[in-house]
Order: sequence, then structure tokens, then C-alpha cells
Amino acid sequence: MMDKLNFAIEYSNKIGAEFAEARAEDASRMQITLKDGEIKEITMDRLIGIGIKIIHKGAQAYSFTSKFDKDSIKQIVEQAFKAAKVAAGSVKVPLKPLEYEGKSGTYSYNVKTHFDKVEPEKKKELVIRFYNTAKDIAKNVVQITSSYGELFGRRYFLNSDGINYSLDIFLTGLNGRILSKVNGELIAHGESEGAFAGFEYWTDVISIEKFATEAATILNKKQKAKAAPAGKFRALVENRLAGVLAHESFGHLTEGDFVMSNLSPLANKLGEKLGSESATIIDEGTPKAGGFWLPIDDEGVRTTKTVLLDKGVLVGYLNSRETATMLDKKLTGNARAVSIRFPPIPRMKNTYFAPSDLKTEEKLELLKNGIYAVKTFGGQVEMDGNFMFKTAYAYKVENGEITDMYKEAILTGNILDFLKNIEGAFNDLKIYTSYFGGCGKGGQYPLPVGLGGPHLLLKEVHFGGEKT
Amino acid sequence: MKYDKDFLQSLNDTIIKKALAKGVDSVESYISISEGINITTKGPFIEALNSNPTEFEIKVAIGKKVGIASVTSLEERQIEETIEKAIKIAKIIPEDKDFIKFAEPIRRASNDGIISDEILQLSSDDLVKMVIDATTESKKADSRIISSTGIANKSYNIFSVANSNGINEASEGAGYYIAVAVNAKADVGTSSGYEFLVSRKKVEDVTGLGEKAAERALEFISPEKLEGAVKYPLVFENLVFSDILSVMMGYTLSARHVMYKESYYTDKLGEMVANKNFTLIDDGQLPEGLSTTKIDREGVPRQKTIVIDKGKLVSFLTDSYSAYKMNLPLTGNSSGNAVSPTNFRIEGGNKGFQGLIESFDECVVIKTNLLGVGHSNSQTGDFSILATNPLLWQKGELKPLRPVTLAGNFYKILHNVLEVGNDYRLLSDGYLPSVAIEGITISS
Repeated sequence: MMDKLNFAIEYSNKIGAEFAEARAEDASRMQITLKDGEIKEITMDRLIGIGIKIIHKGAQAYSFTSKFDKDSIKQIVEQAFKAAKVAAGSVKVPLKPLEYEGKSGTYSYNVKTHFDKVEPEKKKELVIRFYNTAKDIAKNVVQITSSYGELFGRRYFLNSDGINYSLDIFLTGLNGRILSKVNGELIAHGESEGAFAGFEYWTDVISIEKFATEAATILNKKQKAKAAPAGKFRALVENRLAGVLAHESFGHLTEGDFVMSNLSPLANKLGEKLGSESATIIDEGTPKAGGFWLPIDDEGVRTTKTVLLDKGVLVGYLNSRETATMLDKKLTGNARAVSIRFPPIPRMKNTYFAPSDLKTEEKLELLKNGIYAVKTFGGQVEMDGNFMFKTAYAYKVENGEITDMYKEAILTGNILDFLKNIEGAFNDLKIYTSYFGGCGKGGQYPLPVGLGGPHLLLKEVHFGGEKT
Repeated sequence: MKYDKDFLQSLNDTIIKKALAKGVDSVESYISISEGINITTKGPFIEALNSNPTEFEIKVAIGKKVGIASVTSLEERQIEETIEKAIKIAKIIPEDKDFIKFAEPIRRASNDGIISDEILQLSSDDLVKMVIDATTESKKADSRIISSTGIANKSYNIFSVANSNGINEASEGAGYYIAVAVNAKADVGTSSGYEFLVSRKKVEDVTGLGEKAAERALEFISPEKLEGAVKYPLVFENLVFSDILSVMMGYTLSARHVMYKESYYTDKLGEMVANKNFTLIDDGQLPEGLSTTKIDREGVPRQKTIVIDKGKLVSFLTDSYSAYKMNLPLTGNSSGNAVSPTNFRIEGGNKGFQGLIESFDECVVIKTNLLGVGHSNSQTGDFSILATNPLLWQKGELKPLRPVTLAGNFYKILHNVLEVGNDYRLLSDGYLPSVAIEGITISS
């Protein structure tokens, strides 16, 4: 594959492009879906292609093809070069990748059991096992859906600076969702597991039965749960939800392109105190606590452990080489592309709230009275920092004890208020990633990322409530 | 720019023969080629993206065992490998009792949507100019505008579907859009606004687009707080109502979801699911509609389907898998292995957006920016979404409010549609007017 990239770069130089970056990808997916107690669908997809990014006279253009012959490569190089020249006519501030000392290499990830070496039967078993366990425990079931997914492949990179690398990807995930009907009302619950790993994750790490039991048990409880109240409450936020908050409502605002274009409310705020002493947010390429493994980004920059918010003070942004030139001159390794169909843009790696010294076993006691918000079905934010997150479920806590369960609850507010309200972080950091889900930005979805945090204690959070 | 339909259809023909020769009972093949140019401005930077994705997907059936595989390439070797993969899956997958057969050809006249040469000929230069003009205009509109980003995009797609039952069809379409998003300095923090235009008919003048985006952001720089939880009537502007409508109805009208009892409308065909003010149509043949094609993803002719007629649920949307299993008509809504709506239309009344607002003494008006629509529960209909730019209509005046949460059950509140406007706007989800509705809890 490197010879194709070499040809693309040489041809870019030949026709006069100032800077070029060539990427290639070969990625395979397999997905298995069970419904109605039966395997309904098995699909296999393969994504292959080669793409070229050209920066010429301060403008950037990208073009790709799924053909690897020389004529097709020439064609995309010419196309990108032409588009860059056109765009260059309207450039006010020229785009320039920050100079760097890149590191060429082969970034291999050692999995114990490659997906390729596992019989499809073994993979089918996973969704069946989820179903078999869940159906016996869950009550009033209308439908159970479980899906298995795997992705593996390799990315290749070469730029005009001569930096080249190849990088492995291995992702897997299992989603289980149970739908029930009680007194005419549909009530659903789903759980998800996943990792950057080979198939050994399902044989050595995860117990499908335990995972399915959890999903079914929570669903049964939700059938009796009340709607969450609306209003402001003291709150405890669980790890996964903390991660989504770190990613969605804060991480995006630190992405270099949003900062540089003043779209982010965090623009020009480096050094400012935005949150409490307990609010520390980090974005890292290869965290020890797990998550998505990303040693190098799609511009050939080694990823760093990037502290974004340090004890409440904004200290960093997430950069591509281009935004680093404009912003703080720090290369963080955050230029990422969802696939060969797109150029890299500033995206997150593994974004998490840093843990602290509060003991997780004392979390309910420390919350004392309030709402314990658990997991999430996702949420949405706006560039002004407003957010809305839906928790998977929540508990009412009175005098340090769980007294009631709430169905899905809604957290709303502005991230800058949220950060100020963090009273403490616990010592139980967890970072998650999965084949399923991912981050979306600029039409590039789903980009696999990692996210997480410890439990967080909040002085006050606004809950929207399902009904009042 | 345009590709030849015959070329795709003849390639599909070869693929079908090849797969049948390998011993499968039936086969369906899909080929797609797209071309697009996307220009983005972010602050001072400008980026161009030329895309030319191709896709090949094959479904093979051995009895009731179906294998599906795809690849992003039309090269012979890749096609060959993908056929083999699908056959391999069909050999290991258990029988699917719900699979009857791939789509049979049906006689129903249908057409591609409008294809404009003017749009097909839009160049990178044209798109750069459009986006620069629009973003510059938004910044010039007011000194409080602190940022403006824009996107201009043109795309073309052609696809062909063939199967061993005798279907071999092709369809093509092209369109473009331009969007501007701005941030304005507000009393506290910033406020945001956006505006866009989308068309497959002709290249429109972008003048006024940037100003409109700025106007939307500036309207909210001094918001007031709405006290407590209230149930005012709500007026949703066309482009906002479409968001929640497509998320909810796209799910619940799918016969695949009905088949597995995952839809709120399971067992409700023929029942009143909305009040008489509400008639919903899925129009896959609206000439200017962005989702209009001659055929759906499995070669079935698109059509106009009335789904809710004056409140009564009269049809689901189907693909061959669900239609044959449930004995329903083929509505031409296959999107591959799922059922998707095309262009939604709601039958309108006789007032514009302002008219709808003025018909109330007091109401809350939602113009743009709903957060969390995509995370609403489309199975149950429960939603709780954050409207970041709401307005309160009171004493003949519109006042901006701080963000409010809107909560309720979408399927139930369709019984509370007060009035539908006539201010139709072309959107990615259809051709839709503004809607006045009550029964939604609004809390701050």
C-alpha cells in the first residue's frame, strides 16, 4: 500500500502542490443481529480507498477514490490540487500545518484472538446468549434485540515531509435492548459493552450472562419506576454519563477548529478559571484505563495526554497541525478522519474527567439527598455550551440511601455552570469505547472515541423531567 | 458528471448471472456511484472536499437463508470477493422464517425527481463564491456577530438495483445546499443562529441568507426566564417541527418495526392516532423532494402514500421483507435493510407562521435549535428536548426566553394538533409547514 501513497505524494510534488498528505485504508466490518429470538441478519462490509489532502497557497482540498490504479490516483491528486487552487483565491489567513518532528513507524496492536480466526458460529453465540439470559429474567417482553459488531483494519499514511506509518484498528461491541409493555405503555432498556480488542474480549473479559442479567433486571425495575421530577437537585453522576458530559459538552468546545473560528465559547479563554477545583478534563491517545487505542493521528502526529481543564482552569485545546499554528502551537494528535472518505479534522481521542480521592464506596453517603443519574442514551450540545443529556435511569437518594428509581431523566444546562458545580470527583476512573456508537462532526460519523470518568458529585444540576 | 444508467444496469445484470451460477436460489444487487463537492469555511480557513464514493451490495438467498455483503468499490475482484462473502454468510446463517422473497416487479409508473443541469454544472468556484458571500453578509449584518461558518455542497447520485425476479432499474438525482451558522455576543455568553437553503430545482440567489442567520442569533441576545412549568400552546416553525416528526414517524410507521411489535402503531391500523387536523403523507414522487427517486433501494417504484388521513392511521411504510410477510402493499420505502420515509408532507391550513402565532393570546414559539431530538424515544414516543431559542408571545409581542425543556409523548400529542400552517418549506425531511400544538410541558 505504501507504494501507492508514494506515487500519490510524488505526483503531487510533480504537479506543484506545496504540501500533500496521502492516506489509505482497508477496513472490514461484520455485524450480527438477533430479533424475535432468531439471528435475523449477518452483514459483512469492506471499506477500501486512498485519499489525498493538498494544502496549496493556504487552502486545503481533499479527494479520494476506491481505485488503486495509477490513473485513478493521478485523477484525485489533480482534482484536489485544482480545488485547492480555486479555494486559495478566497483565503484570508493561509492554512499552514505546524512544523513537527513526526515519527514514522508501524503501530501494531497485538490481539490474542483476531476476528478473522474465529468461526462465525462463535460470534452468533454471543447474541443468542444475551437473548437466552434476558428473556428468562425480563418481564412483559415485547421484543429483544441484540447485535454484535466487529471492525478491524489498517490505515496507511505518508506526507510530503516523508513521515509514514501504518496503524491497526480492532473494535468490537455488543448491544442488547429489551422492549416491554406494561399497561399499554412501552418501556425499554438497553445495555452496551465494547472494547478496542480482539475476540478475546468476549471469551476472557466479559460475561454475556452477567451483562444480560443487568439489562433485564434494570428493565424490570424501570417498569415500576416513576418519571423523574423537574427542577434543580444535588446530584451524583455515574462514570459513563460523566464521560459523555466530558466529551459532548466540553470536549467539542476545545476542538481547535471551533476555537479558532470563535464558534466556541472557550475561544480566547486559556488560563481562565471555568470550573471548580474538582473539575479536571483530559483527552488522551492511549490511556492506561482503557478506551480507544490511538498512538498517532491522521496527520502523523503522535498523540499526547492533553490536559484541557486543570482543576477548573482552561489549559489546552485539541489541535490539528493547522489549528496548532493558529492557536497555542501545541501538537496534541487530534487530527482524525472517520474514514478515507474524509480529510482529518480536530476530533477527540479518549476524553475523561480525571479521578480524585473521594472513595467510591462513600458516594451515596456524600450525595446524601439528591438524584443519582446513571448511564446515558446520549445527548446533544450547542456551541454556546448548552446541553441536554438523557440518562438511562436514575435513583432518588435520601439520607445516603437509594429510596426510589426514576425512568429516564434529562439533564440540561450550560457546561460552564456544570463545571462550577462539581463538588468532587471519586477514585473510580473508567474509560469506555465500542464498535457501536461514536462521535459525529461535520458529516463524519461514527468516529470511534473513548470517554469516561469517575463518579462526580454535583452541588446542583437541572433535571428536565419526562413530565411534571 | 452524469453516469450512464445502462452501464450500471448491465453491470448488475452480469452480477446477478454470476451469483446465480454459483448456485444460490435468488439474488439482489445494488450499485451506487456518487459525486460531490463540499466547501467549508471555518473562521479564516477554507476547505474543499471532492467525494466520489462507490458502493456495491449484494444479497443472496439459499432457501430462506440470506447473506448480505458490501464493498466500497466496483472493481471486478472486489465484486467477486463480495459475492463469495455473501454466499458464505447464506451458508452459515439460520433460516429466516420472515423472509419470503426479494421484491417482485410491479407495474406502477414512477419518475426521478427534478434534475437541474444548472445544479449539475455548479463548480468549486461557484460554491466557494456562494459560501463566502453568505458568511461575509452575516458578519456585516451586525457588529455583535462574532463568528460565522458556512458550508456549500453539491451532490449527485446514481444507483441501480437488479434482482433475479426480473427487476433491473436505475435512478439518479442531484441537489445542492448552502448553510450559514453564526454566533452573536449576548448579554450572557453567546447566542447562535443558522439559516440554509436547499434545492434540486435551480440555483437560488444566496442574498439575504447570511442576514437571516444573523437575525436569528440576534433575536436571542437578551432572553428572559420563564418561571415554573407551564402548558402554553406551542407554535413550531416548519424547520423545527420536521426534526421531531421525522425521528418519531420515520420509526413508528416502518412496517419492519410494526412486524416486531416495536412500533407504537402496532395493531393501530385504522384507528384515530391524531386529531382531524392532521393528515400526513409520505411523498416519494414529489418532484422537488430531496428523497425523491424513481425506485427505492430494492427497485420498487416510489409512490405517494397517505399514512395518516384526517387523524386515521391508514397505511404503514413497507419494504418487500415486511410487505410480503404482513401481506401489505409495497410502498417503495426500502432503504436497504430498513424502511425509511421519503419526503413527509402535512396537509396545510390557511395561515402562515405569523398567523398561527397571532391566533393565540399567549403561546411559546420555537424557531430553531432543538437539542436532543435524536435521543427521543421513538418506540414509546416520550420526548424531552431542550429548546435553546424559544420565544414567548404575549400581549402582541414576541419576547426571547432562556432555554426551556419541552416534554411529552409525541404520539399522544398528535391528538392535540391545533392548526397546521401553509408556510411550506423544502427540508431534508420533506416539504413541511409550521404547526401549532398543545399538551407539551414547558419548563425552565
